Amino acid sequence: MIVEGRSLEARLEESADVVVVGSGAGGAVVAAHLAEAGQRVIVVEEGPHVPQERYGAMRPSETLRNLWRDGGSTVAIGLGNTPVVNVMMGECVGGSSVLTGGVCFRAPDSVLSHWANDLRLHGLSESAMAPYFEDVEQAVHVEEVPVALRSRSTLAFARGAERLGYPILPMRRNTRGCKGCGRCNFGCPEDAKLSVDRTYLRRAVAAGARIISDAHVERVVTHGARAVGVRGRLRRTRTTPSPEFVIHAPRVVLAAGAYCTPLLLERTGIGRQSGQVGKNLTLHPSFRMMARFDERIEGWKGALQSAYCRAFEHERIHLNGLFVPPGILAGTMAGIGDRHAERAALIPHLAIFGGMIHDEPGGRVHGVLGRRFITYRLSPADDVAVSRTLSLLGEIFLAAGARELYLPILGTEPYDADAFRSIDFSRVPRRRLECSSQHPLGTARMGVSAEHAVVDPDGRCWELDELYVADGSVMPTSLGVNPQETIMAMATRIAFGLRERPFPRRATVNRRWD
Amino acid sequence: MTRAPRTLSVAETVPLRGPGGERIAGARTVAAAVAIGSALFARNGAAPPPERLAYLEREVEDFLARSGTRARAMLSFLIWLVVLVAPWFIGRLGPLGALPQPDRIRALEALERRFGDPLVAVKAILCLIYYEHPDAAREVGFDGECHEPRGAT
Repeated sequence: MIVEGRSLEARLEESADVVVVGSGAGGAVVAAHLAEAGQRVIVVEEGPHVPQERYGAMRPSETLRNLWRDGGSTVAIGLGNTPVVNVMMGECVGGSSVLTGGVCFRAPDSVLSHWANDLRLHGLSESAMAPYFEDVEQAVHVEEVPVALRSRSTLAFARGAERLGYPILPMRRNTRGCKGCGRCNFGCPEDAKLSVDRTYLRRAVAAGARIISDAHVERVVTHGARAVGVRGRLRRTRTTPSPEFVIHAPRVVLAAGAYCTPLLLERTGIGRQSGQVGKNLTLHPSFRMMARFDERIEGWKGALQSAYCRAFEHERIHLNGLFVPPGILAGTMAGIGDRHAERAALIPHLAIFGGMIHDEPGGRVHGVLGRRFITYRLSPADDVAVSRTLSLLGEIFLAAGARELYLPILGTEPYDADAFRSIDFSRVPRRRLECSSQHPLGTARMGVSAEHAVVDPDGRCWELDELYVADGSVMPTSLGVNPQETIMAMATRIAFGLRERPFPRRATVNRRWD
Repeated sequence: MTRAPRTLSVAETVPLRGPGGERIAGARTVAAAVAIGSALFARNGAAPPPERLAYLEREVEDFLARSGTRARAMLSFLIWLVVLVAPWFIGRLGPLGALPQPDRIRALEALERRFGDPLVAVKAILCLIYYEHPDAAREVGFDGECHEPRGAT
C-alpha cells in the first residue's frame, strides 16, 4: 500500500516493526526482504510517488523538475583546484534507481579484496558477497546489452577504441524488453528498466509493507541508547504548517542516501565517537566529451548506456557510454543567437562518451542550521586521472574519425586534432571543467572499529542500538564502477542479517497490521 | 533496429500555482529568463516567434515552481545575475530585457566569453526546455523517438 503523504490533512502516527527511511536502491531491498519475512515494515520517502505510467510519459525537463532532487541542481562546492560538481540524485519513490541508466556492475574484485583484507571486513570478500550479488541480479533481471542496441554514438567511440587497441565491453543493466529510447536517466518510457519501484517495492507492498511518500524525516527518535522510531513532516505544496508524522518502531533503517543519511545521523547525535559522519564522501567525478562527425550520429537512438571500457582501471579510470537530451547538448556549447543556432544544428552529428574517476574520499556533507551542503576536493592522484581521462576520450574519438572535439571546459570553442593535442591538461584550471556525479558514497562508512567508522560490518550504528544504515553511505571506499548493484547487494546482506536478529526485549512486535 | 518515427508534441503546461492560485515562481524572474531566451534563441537577429516564447515562459514558471525552494532560489539568483551583469560587458546599465534585441545578444556573448559561469546553468535549463518544443526540436534535427509525452504532465 502506498500512501501519498501530501494528500493527508492531519497528523499521522503509525507503528511498525521496522521503519525504513528512503525507498531507493538500499531501502527498497531491505523493505522487501523484511516484509517477506513477516515483519511489519513502513517505508518513508521524502519524494513524491510518481507511477511509471506518469514518469514514463514525461519530457526530460518534466522529470528533472518532478523527480530529481533540487531539479537536478545540487552541487558539490569545489575546494582548491577542483571543479564544481553537479551531483544528480533522485527524490521520488524508487529514488535514484528510477533515474539511472540501469547499469549494474558488481563491485570489482580488487575493491572487495581491499575491503576484506586491508579493512578487515571479511564478510565483504568476493566469495562472501557473491550470493548477494546473485540474489540482486535475479531480482532486477540483470542482462547484457546486445550490440544491436548500441547507438551510433557508442559505435563511433567503440570504433576508435578498437583502433587503438582498447577493448569495448557490453554493459549489463537491469532491463527486460529495452527498445533503446536513450532516455533512461529521465524515467523509462517503455517500462523496460526494472528499477526498484518496479521490483523490490512491489514485492514489499505485496508482502504487506506500507510506503508513505512526501514524508520528510527530521530525526530519529531515541529512547536511552536505542532507536525507537522516526519523526518528521509531511510535505505539502505551499501550505504551512505541514502536518507532523511519527512512526514508532523498535528498529530503524536509514537508507536516505549518502547525501541525506549523514544529516539524520548528526541530528540524532551519532558521530561524536568516530567523527566520521558526513566525511569520506566519494563522488566518482565524471566528465563527458562530445565529438562531431561528418555522418549523422543521432545518438539518442539506442540504449543510453550500452558499452564501457575497463582498459584503464589500473589508472582508476572507467570509460562509460552515455547520451544526454539534445537540449542539454545545445546548452553546453558556446554561442548566443545565430552562433548558438549553428552549433545546435550539429547535434545530430555529435557522439558522446564519458569518463569516471575511481576517486579518493575528498568530500564531505555538512549540516548547518538544518541545511545540507557538500564540499569536495580532488586529491593529487585524482587530478592526474582527470587529465588522463580527457586526453583518452579525445584521442579515442579522433581515432574514430571525429572532426572536432567539444571539451568539458566551460566557454571554449571546439578543438580540431592539432589544437586538442597541444593542450596540456594538467594546466587547465579545474574550476573551468564541467563535472558531474551520480554516485555519492561513503558518508557513513562501514568498518570494524567505532573509532574509524559509523556502522559495523552488519550495518548497525556503532553508537546507537537498533539503528541501521543500508545505502550508499556505508561503502567503505569508492567503487570505480556504477554502484547501484553493490548498494542493493550490501542492503540484501544487511537485510538477511536483520531477518535473523531478534528484536529488543521490550519492543512490541506484532506479526500483522492493526 | 527499425522503428517508425514518432511525432513530437507538447501538451500545454499549466504552471504549478499555490492553493490560492498565487504564483510560486516570481513573474519578474520568469520574464527575466524569457529575456535571456529571446537573445539566446534568436535567429538572424530576431527573437523566436511569440508562441515559442510563451511556451518558454509557461515552462520556466512551472520548472521554477516544482523544483523546490533551494533550486528555485539558486536558479532565480543566477537568472538575475545574468540579466543584471551582462549589459555591463557592453557598457550599458539596466536589465537585459530593457536592451534592444541586438544589444541583448552582444551582451550575452560578452558575458559568456568573459564571465560565463553564471550563464551555464541558466543556459542548460533554458535549452533543455526550449528544445523540447516540437518545432525547435525539428529545427535541430531531433526526431524525438520515445521522447513524446503521452498525456501526463
